[in-house]
Amino acid sequence: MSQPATPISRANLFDRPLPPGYRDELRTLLAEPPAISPRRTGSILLFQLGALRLALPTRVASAVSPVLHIARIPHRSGTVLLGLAAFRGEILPCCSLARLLDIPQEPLHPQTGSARTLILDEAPGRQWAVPIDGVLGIRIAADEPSSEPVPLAAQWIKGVFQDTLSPKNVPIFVLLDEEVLFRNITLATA
Amino acid sequence: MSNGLEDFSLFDLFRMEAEEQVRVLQAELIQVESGTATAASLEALMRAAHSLKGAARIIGLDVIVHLTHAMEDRFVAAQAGNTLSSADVDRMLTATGWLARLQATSEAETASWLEVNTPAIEAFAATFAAHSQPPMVGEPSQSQPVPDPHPAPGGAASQASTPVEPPPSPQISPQQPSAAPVTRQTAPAHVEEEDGIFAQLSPQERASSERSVRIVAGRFDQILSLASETLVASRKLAAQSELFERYQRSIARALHNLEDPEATTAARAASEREIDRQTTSLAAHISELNLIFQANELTSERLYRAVLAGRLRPFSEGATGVARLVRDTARNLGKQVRLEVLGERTRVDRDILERLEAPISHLITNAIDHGIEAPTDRVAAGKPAEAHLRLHARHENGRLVITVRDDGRGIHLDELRGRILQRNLVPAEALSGLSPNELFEFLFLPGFSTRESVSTVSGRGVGLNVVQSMVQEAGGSVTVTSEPGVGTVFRLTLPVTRSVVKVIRLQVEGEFYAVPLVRIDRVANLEPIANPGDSGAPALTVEFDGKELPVANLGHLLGLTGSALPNASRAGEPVPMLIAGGVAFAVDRLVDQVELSVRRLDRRLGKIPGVSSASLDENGLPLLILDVEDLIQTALGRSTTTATAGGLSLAAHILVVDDSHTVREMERRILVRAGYTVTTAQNGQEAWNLLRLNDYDLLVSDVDMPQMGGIELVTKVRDNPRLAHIPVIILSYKDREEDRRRGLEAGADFYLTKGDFQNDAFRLAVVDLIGPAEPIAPDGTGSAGEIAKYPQDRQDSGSTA
Repeated sequence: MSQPATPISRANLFDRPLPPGYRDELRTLLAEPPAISPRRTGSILLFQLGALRLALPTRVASAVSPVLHIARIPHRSGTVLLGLAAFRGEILPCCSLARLLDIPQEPLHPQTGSARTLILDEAPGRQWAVPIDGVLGIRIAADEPSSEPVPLAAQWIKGVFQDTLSPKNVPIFVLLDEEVLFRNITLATA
Repeated sequence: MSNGLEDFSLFDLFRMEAEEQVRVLQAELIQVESGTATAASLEALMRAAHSLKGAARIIGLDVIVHLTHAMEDRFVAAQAGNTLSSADVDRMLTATGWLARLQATSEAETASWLEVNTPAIEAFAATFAAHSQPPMVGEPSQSQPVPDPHPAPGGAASQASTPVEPPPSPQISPQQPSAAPVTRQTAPAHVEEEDGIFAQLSPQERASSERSVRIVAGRFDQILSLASETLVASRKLAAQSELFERYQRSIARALHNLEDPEATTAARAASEREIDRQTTSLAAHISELNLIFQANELTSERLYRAVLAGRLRPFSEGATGVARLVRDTARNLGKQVRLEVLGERTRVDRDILERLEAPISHLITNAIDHGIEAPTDRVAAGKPAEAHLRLHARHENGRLVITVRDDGRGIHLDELRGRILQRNLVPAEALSGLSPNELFEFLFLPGFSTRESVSTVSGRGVGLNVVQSMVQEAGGSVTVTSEPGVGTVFRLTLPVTRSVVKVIRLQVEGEFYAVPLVRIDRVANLEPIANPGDSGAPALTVEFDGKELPVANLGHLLGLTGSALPNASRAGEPVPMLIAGGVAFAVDRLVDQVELSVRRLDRRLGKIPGVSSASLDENGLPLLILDVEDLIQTALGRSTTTATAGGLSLAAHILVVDDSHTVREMERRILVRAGYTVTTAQNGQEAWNLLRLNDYDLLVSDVDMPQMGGIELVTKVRDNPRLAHIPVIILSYKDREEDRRRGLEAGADFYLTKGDFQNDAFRLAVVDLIGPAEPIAPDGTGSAGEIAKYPQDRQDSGSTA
């Protein structure tokens, strides 16, 4: 057990001259690149959009609903903003993630299951409804980063990961950067 | 289009930008000093200095332009290999300190701050020059002493050679990185304001959603009791479900026995008896279920009415200040007025009541100032010296009607016509054909006043326009009638409650919409007639109540179809129409009449032309409630919304991309002032996303931007078949010949430097490329309206917007 610090010993500790080479040692330490370790993605929802497997943190991908009826908005429904959808008594703007991310709408992959609507929580009172091609599951475990290229602009990507629970033929998924996503949804629908 | 920055002065924008860039400079310089900086750090430093330089130039802070230019040069030299020494970092941090201190200075104090500090900053900036050249081979890195940013007055020259003394602001010291949050403390507020469309609920909205509502204890008990009844009913219904499943099982078992080929006759007979017995019981239970259902429906209705009644308040609560207002206004204007308030106990929705105060005050003030004569004039006209002003609230046919009646001079139509001609709102030959009611409509135009002079009370022409806007916002309408010498009556018609509205549900182009009943004069199936129109092309009209009304295809007004011709009319059939405000709106189908609870439109969507609010139908599906007044104005070519009926903007749409708040906002303001519609983006990538998804008439881009630069953006645009034709202006601080060549080679049509703001070259280049923005007529008319034109529409019928 260490000696309890007295005012004198504290003063000695802080007032003493720096040991030789201390600054260099600290600088070298700070300059060292951080060790690459498996990155914890936290709790994420995996979903299919066209041919891509995408993921968002479950704190923003708050609910999944069956396909919702979309009411067209005069003068507004267009490329990204599809219209309005009702979810749990709330009327939400519904937008096309596929068009926003510029993902070609390919026929559904046989394993994706049926289409769904994803409810995204940007902030309290700011939800978006987003049609997706299916939910693939929720992952909590640490996932391995992957260096495999993905057909998506770099700005959307927070990380590309190996999904250890997935079938071998589709082993990676793209974790979307939710901040960039929400900012661009807002811009594209304003 | 709003970017949330309209309300800031350019100096505010500079300060916001300085705050952000100072943070970048501090963070990256500390990285440089610790040896962990990468090429990206130097790029970020260079960009931060560059952005600050641009922002400072726009607001005319020359000394800051010199300082940041010197910093930028030094960072560029560092990128070229002239590494930043520890002394350089000190110098940069000192410069950053100046910027931080300027950023923290209020606009009012900036001039005096600059007066005191400019000599020292200039001298300090000069010390950078020696370090901004790329290194010669073998040349050692030099360090220069740094002047104190707090020079004694008049001692700038001597201060310039004093040893390093960073400014007192703790956040600029690399030894005290923990002090950085000092600048961040104010950041969230700015960020929130800057990103208006990204902001959370505004304080007002938060207050609105969290406000409390008073309700008398008796009514609360009634609501609780009714809610309990509905709960009991729902539990009974749940029990019925179990019972029905039992019937289903018994009948299925009996049927199975009946179908069994080995079953005996007795067994079959027993099964038949069982089916009969179960069927009888089932019928009895269905009757019981009906009773439960009816009782539940009744209770739900009573519950709903009870909750609704809790929202209704007596009209007197909204008219408390009227007596004082009349007294004070009359006294100020030297008039004698007797106020009479009728219908004080008329029940009004609390939301509507809150919105009534301002319009009623406007109308009362208007009546006293404009309508009621001075006592001597009244006596001379044979009237009592004391005028009579009556405010009356009542319910009529399920609507709340409020009238403000005065016995003043009334509105003289000749004077009104004179003002209309003077404002050039209508050609003289057309003016004589307008009815009194049509002439009175001009009173509600923005900026229209019958007064020659402006007083503290009225005459600016904003009052009636505001009254109309407020009443319309509350879901109502306002009309005026007047008789010269006798008086004027303003009549406000509003829904009794704002939370529930009776609507006609209709269908256009496959979509369902709702129209408040209160705004509809009539519905009818009418056959349009093709008449010669102004432009030579026949226009569709219908005859209704002896009048000829123009026909507008609602689907076209809502931008759902490109055809102005109603669908049914194409088949030669009578067309279902809504008659409102002198326009016949053609629809595909009138569905039914229902009551809907009204919800505000999501604020992220902004104002949608032709739409006022939203609701959920009985199946829980979203249903938009249309803004009839807006549609009438659009149909008559008087739309004040930014989008016209066809979904097209009146003005050309320009995308401005620049990573500097200040430059971006400066460009936006110049273009908006010139009449264009502008959307802004912060970098090339963001601009590329917008370009992919929307149509723009012009792209204005900076060169140096994070994520994707201007040259890359322009190259992508030119390589894209859909976008290749868009005119592009590059607006950059880089004014070297090779920079220009690079921009033009990438595909820009113009390469301008940001100094061109001052000499109008920027605006002229825009006009050169896409023409001037379409001027809006003084009466707000920007297009010829959206009344159906027969032959052209027949040609494009069926096309969809």
